[in-house]
Amino acid sequence: MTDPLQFEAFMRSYQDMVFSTAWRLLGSETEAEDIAQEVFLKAYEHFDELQTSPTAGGWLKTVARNLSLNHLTRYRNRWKFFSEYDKHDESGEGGFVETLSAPDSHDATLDQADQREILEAALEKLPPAQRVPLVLYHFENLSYEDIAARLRVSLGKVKTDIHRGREALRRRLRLNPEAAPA
Amino acid sequence: MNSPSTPPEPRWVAELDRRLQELPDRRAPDSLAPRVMAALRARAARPWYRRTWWQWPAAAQVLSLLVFSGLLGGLTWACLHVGRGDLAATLGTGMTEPLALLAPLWGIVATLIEAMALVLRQVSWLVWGGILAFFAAMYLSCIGLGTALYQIALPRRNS
Repeated sequence: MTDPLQFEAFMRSYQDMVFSTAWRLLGSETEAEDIAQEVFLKAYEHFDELQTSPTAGGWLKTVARNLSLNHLTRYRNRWKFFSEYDKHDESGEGGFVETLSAPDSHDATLDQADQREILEAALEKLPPAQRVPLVLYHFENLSYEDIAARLRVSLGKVKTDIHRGREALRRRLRLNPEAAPA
Repeated sequence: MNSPSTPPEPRWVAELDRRLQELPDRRAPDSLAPRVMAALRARAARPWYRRTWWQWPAAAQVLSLLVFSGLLGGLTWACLHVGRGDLAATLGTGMTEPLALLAPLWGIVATLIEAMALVLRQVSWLVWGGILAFFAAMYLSCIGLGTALYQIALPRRNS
């Protein structure tokens, strides 16, 4: 029988990670909290195995990711979500970047915390069609192929969306686009 | 990073990747843990019949299996006898005695079953096929119409 106190301690040690995973994919605190709750209710059913498992964090992250993606496809207009862009977005220029507040003229002096804040805000404001594949690539370490398969869209679309998302973040962070390949 | 078939990314992409990976986890709302614990308490307080079958008491599981098997067996038996048209007679002799108290009700049920058997025998399989095709066509029309209306109501701005 699961001890509720033990489970609560387990939950508190992973709740930020689970919540962040859901929040980055969904872009909404309320929805991310709902998903995080669902994740921990599932975890409770498997708590006997999870509490001693070294891969509990990975299990929770995977469940959070899958539930978030299911939520996105179930509750949002999927055709619109995965197939449509507004004119700015389609052209690859302008678009949501202009909806962000103008960059501070003192960007060069921004400290790391400010940079992180800017990056988080920019990530949150990306359209879902760009944010979701970008998060899956950079945070969940999925390949382009895996992302295309998971989102059931073409490989080309995944690459395009991730590229546009990165470009938007780059402009916001003022990274040098001319830098040579790593 | 990721697929080996992926061409090398520009340096700024690697820098962006690094910065993204370094983002700290966002703090979960304070309400999350209490919400989960409350949901668990509510779940634990549910009566057994509102839980999943796996969580039912053993006796209830056995009983439900017996009832289900009985229903399945009865249905199979009924299907085998409907085709021969002697269902009502067989059921009449086999079951009315132990279920004497239900005799008036059984009379109605037997009549209905007999009527259904008669309909099954009299109506051609072509007609049944036609009816089935009609309902399938109606169902597909609903899906098609729904899809078309959805597209009209929420037009795609480009393909």
